[in-house]
Amino acid sequence: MKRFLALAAAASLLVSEAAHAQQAMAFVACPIIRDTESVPCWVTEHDGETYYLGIQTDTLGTFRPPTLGQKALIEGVTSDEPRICGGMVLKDAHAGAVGELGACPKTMLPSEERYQLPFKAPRQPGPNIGKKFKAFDLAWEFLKPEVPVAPFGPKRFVISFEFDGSSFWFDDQRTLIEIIDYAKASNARQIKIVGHRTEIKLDDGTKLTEFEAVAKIRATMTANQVASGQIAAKIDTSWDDVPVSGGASQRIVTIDIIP
Amino acid sequence: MQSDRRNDAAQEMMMPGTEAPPRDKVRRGRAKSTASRLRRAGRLAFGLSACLTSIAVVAKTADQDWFTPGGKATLPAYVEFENELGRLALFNENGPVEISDHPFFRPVGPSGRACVTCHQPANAMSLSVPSVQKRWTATGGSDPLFAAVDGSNCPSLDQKDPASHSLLLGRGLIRIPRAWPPRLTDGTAVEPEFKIEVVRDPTTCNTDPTYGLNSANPTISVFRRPRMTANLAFMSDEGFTRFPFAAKDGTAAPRNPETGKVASGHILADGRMASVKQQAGAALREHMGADGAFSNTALNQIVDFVEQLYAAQVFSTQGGSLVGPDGPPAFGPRNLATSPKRFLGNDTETPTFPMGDAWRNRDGKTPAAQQEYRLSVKRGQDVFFTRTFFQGEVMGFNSLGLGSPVKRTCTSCHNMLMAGNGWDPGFLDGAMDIGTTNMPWATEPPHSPWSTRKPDLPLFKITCRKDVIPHLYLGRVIYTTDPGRALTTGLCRDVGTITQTQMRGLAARAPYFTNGSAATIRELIDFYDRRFQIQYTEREKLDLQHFLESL
Repeated sequence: MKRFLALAAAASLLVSEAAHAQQAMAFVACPIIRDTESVPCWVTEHDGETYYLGIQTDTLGTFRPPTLGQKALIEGVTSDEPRICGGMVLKDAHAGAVGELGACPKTMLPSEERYQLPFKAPRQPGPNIGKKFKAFDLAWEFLKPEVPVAPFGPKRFVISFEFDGSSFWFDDQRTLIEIIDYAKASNARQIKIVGHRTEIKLDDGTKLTEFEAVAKIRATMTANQVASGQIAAKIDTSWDDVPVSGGASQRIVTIDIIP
Repeated sequence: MQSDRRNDAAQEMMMPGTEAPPRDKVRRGRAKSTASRLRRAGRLAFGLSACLTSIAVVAKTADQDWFTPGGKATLPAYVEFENELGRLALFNENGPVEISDHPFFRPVGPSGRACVTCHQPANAMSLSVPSVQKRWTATGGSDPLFAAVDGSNCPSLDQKDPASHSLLLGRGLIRIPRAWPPRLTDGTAVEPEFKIEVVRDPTTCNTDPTYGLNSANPTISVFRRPRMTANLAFMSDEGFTRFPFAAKDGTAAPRNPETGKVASGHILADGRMASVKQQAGAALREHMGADGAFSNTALNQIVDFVEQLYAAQVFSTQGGSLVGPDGPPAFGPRNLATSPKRFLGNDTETPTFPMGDAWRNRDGKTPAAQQEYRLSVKRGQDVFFTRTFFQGEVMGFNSLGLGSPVKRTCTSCHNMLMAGNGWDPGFLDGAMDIGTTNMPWATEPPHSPWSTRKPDLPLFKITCRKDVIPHLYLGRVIYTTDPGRALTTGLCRDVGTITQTQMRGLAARAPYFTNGSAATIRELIDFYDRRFQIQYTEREKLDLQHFLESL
């Protein structure tokens, strides 16, 4: 019996640790650069813990690093992976800018022997290795826009943004190209574009709401981008000023193509 | 006095009053002799050409360091011009150009200007301050260059007073009047995201009742350097991108109205023109005062001329020939002509300015001082290509999802193979704000009881509306001496954003940056060192300087 209880307790501890390891986090903090011999890491400190957010990448990277000296809304899920650059790995990390530059110190920690990246950075800090004359083609290959295939029914596309953000990143261009191609291939008669903004509940219980005009800005910019593809469809653009409760997955513009 | 040098007697430059002095005759003889020896040796054509270049014939002309509109002459296929650091060469890929009735050189409008007025061959098809000052002295300020419309600080000033032309005489700047609010090239008004106010204006033009912001035709006057009209084959072509939009700012990418294709965006500091042809037409009207539309044939002639013209330094007073048979492939206009065009030069197989291993080691035969300089040039290329530093708060670069700062090198942005401007379209990260015009980074003279220096550029206050995304790094209130691309787009995020310019012919066309704020190549390097806290060593700075002056 004692043995069973001990096993149960151990299992409970493991479950608890696993739960802790996969805890969703949302807090505002100052980003920090931890340099390495290769590219630098982006980390942050919160409630006595250091979190690893990601490394410096290029425009093809999935993690969008923040701005040193500016607060960031840190979102992600904790993990039990080995620490990187001294920080607990935060999976699917986002670090959208909050407020203006100057609210944080510009902390840049120098490279140290003990902090080595446990993987090879896809892009070194200087020029690319190799790739003579082919960078553009490789980037295009990376994007791989989906070629529209009949039959063409109504189809929804989604573009997501960082907190308070309205920038289109490199991989958003794939979606934009697909939207334009699908609208043309399906002889779309209407494209409905709707922008959204969010309000997120932080770990300390406070709420953080996006900039009032950002839903409109996201929608109109998306409409401009789509229109520049010289398509015949009527584009209806609208936005929801009421913030949606949620995080990164809700900071979106939806694009509905109606053939 | 500058002299032009050439390598083919059959392409003698026929300027009025051409007369070769005895020294030139001696050198011409040496050239023939050397050429004969080379031919006998059966060297490759390239080697022959390069060697001849290095011992080029001098053909002095009456007015060869300044091309006056309407002159009768032939611009040879290959011609060299002296500058303080050596010699620059122009190479017309399609052969000699008769300039006597060529629209690039033909005077138009009331001032008698031509394109060549501000795009001088000896100045790498741009304009250097020493040339401007010499021209003022030679003509008492009557040269068409100093026309009131934009060759002075403001047309309303006393045009005989050199102080009225201080920005042209001191910084080589031409006045660029921009309608406010902005208008697209088709005349459509743009609703700006910000309010603009004049904080100071030593030029008086922005507060002038006729030409200023509060005049009947509200105008913002900014002052910019003329860009090179050579090596344009690297940046004027279309088809840079398969994307029909400017992903950076959510606007439609500019298209060439003639072809409907997405434009490169590399033309002019603020990318307001979609093609060289469009720019040429606008310049003929706005800078030269041409009446009516220029003929399509004439505009095409101008475009054809500048897109087959290559310019680069070929000789260094310290390092000797830059284009010898064993020299690096990065240098000289012939290498530009034969290079692939519009390729990204930011990888280890394709450096922006490829040098291979040339000049990496001592060769045991080059004179010591010359050898040391060449080694320094090679080290400078290494600094340019591989010396990392943290680059931060640059709109149009960090703002594209990279974060701020990033650990990169010079070539991360200056990555157009052989040209050194941004490879990406000018409406993407080919245009950026590194702080040359925006406070707090813009170069300002010290203001103190112990200094008599005064600021010479206007200063504007930009206040962004509350319902727009502010400038990521400067917020909603920005002080700037030139709002850059924002004068075209009206976007807050574009304030101070300037389309990168190519890096060729630097030795022939000081000063640098769009507002001429770096008088020397060293000052240019110092700006970057200060802006990005690079902490270059003295040797790194000198090596980089030697490299840049070889381009």
